[in-house]
Amino acid sequence: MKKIERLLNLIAALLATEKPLSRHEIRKRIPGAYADSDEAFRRTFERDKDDLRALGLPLSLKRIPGTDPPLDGYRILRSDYEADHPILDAEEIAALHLASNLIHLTGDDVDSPFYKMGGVIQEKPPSLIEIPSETLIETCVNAILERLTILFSYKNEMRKVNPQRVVFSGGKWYLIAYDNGRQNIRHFRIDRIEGEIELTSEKYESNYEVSEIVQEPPWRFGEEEKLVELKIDETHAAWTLETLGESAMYEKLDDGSIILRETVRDWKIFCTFIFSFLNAAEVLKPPECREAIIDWLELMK
Amino acid sequence: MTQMTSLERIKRLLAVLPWIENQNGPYIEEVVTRFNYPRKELIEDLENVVFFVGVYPFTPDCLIEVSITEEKVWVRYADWFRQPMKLDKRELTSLRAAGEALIEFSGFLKDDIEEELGPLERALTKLSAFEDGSDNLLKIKLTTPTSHLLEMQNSIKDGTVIQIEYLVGSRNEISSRKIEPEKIFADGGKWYVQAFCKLSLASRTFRLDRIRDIKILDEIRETQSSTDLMDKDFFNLDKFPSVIIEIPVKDKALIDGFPNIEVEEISGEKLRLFCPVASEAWLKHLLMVLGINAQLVEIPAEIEDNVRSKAAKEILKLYTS
Repeated sequence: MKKIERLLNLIAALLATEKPLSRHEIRKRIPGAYADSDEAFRRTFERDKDDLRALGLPLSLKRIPGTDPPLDGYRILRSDYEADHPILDAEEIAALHLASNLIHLTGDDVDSPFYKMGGVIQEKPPSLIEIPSETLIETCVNAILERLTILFSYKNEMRKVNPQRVVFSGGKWYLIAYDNGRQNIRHFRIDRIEGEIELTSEKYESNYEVSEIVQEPPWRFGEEEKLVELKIDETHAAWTLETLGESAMYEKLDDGSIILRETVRDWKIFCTFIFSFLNAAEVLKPPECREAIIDWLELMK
Repeated sequence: MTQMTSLERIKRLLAVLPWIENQNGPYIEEVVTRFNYPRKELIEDLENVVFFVGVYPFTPDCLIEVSITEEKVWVRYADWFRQPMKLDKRELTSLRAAGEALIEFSGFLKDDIEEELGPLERALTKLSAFEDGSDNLLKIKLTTPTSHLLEMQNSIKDGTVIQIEYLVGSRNEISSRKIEPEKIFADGGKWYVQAFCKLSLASRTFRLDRIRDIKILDEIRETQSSTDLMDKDFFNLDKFPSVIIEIPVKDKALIDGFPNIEVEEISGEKLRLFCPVASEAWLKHLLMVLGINAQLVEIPAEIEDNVRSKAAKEILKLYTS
């Protein structure tokens, strides 16, 4: 018997049964599927069980009623297996299909859920954005689905957190989680997690109020506040305005260049932004910032 | 189409069988399209596999009945497979995240998908009612689109040639060129368009926020718009010369904004950076950021070794003139 036929028969038997079936009962019920030798049968059956689980089938192992000595048996409960989600109409499925094709995670099997909904007749739109995914993100999502506390190292410290949400924002992945050590909700950049994430076997109960990830230039966060005035060449003007927001605009000069005012709370990070313009950006005010730049450049020349 | 593995075929069949049974003789072609099941394999699997599937004692009343005519297919008595499998939590999560991201983003793409939004919102409401407790656990916020995104999308859709005024970052100058857009994508919080560039006669990647002006031309494209043209070269940095720089470990945070740099710790105090250099401007920027403690260890012949001092002098002119 071919593997695919054997597995389909096995699934049918497990769905049809009224009570859990022992291994040997299963062998009897699918004649010709398994080898006569006990050892060969055991090996094939173990592989088949792994395959069923890989297919996402809800295989349950329960005590067979009335067995003495007690014996465990397998079955697939219809209530675990059969679709009970609300019926989506064709239009709704098509819209969801479009969305999933436009936006999806790298490695996600976009079509698989749609087969379960009866398939889709429509051309696949080209992907608009493929969101880069990786193992750490999958681990975080799985931990949330299973409600498991996780451990990882972050900024040289071991964190024990209850993950709440995984967010892709501004081109980066974030984990929003309740930090058990600090006893509040924290945002973690997933690309800064050091090493692996360890899943614990602890289940957490409560859900926490989750705050939104705000995308702002990093120099707006910090201690000491400065209002910096800078001049940007015409060629970079539009892009800079888009980055800082129109509210930064202070004056437009005749040659097309612009003068902007930006609140800076982390001067060091802001410098890296200014140097990205090379000689197309000049810090005008305050004097101490202007001098700091000059000192820096004098050292470098 | 690639060959399906036996597990893929089983998974697909578990969805196909209940659907066919409920349709009362659908066309084979429709099954092929809906389930992306190659016709030859579908018929083979139905006739030679499913036909023998059933439950003990495998008498005719306990077997699935499959009949196939020239064009249509019937499945009967597939009682055990009367319903498709549940959507699992992971699938629901992805579906909802994609749907919600698109709705949030849709204001910028109206032309294309406005008519899909009603049904999409209905679908999400239905799915959220089904799901318990895992509300919004995956959230995708798309990069805020720049003004030219829609025009690029339309150009890809309509197959037009466009002329752009593009700011070349490394030279700080505007160049005018004709392009045939092929694909739009976001990476690291920025939007890019990949297009056939008629100036360089090759596929090039442009940052949308550096496009200053767009004109749609009345010209026929030279290239076919196709996903096969995907040019991964943009991310393939091997082709660029590499500069090796050493910095003190305490300055590690400075390279945060430079994702393409490979870092190697050579001692407790020093890091060695391998930096693919796509443009001199980029290298100057990097050196300015790293400061005086950064040491240029190895530079390829095509880059001047006084590049740092040159850059500092150029900027300094602004402040001293």
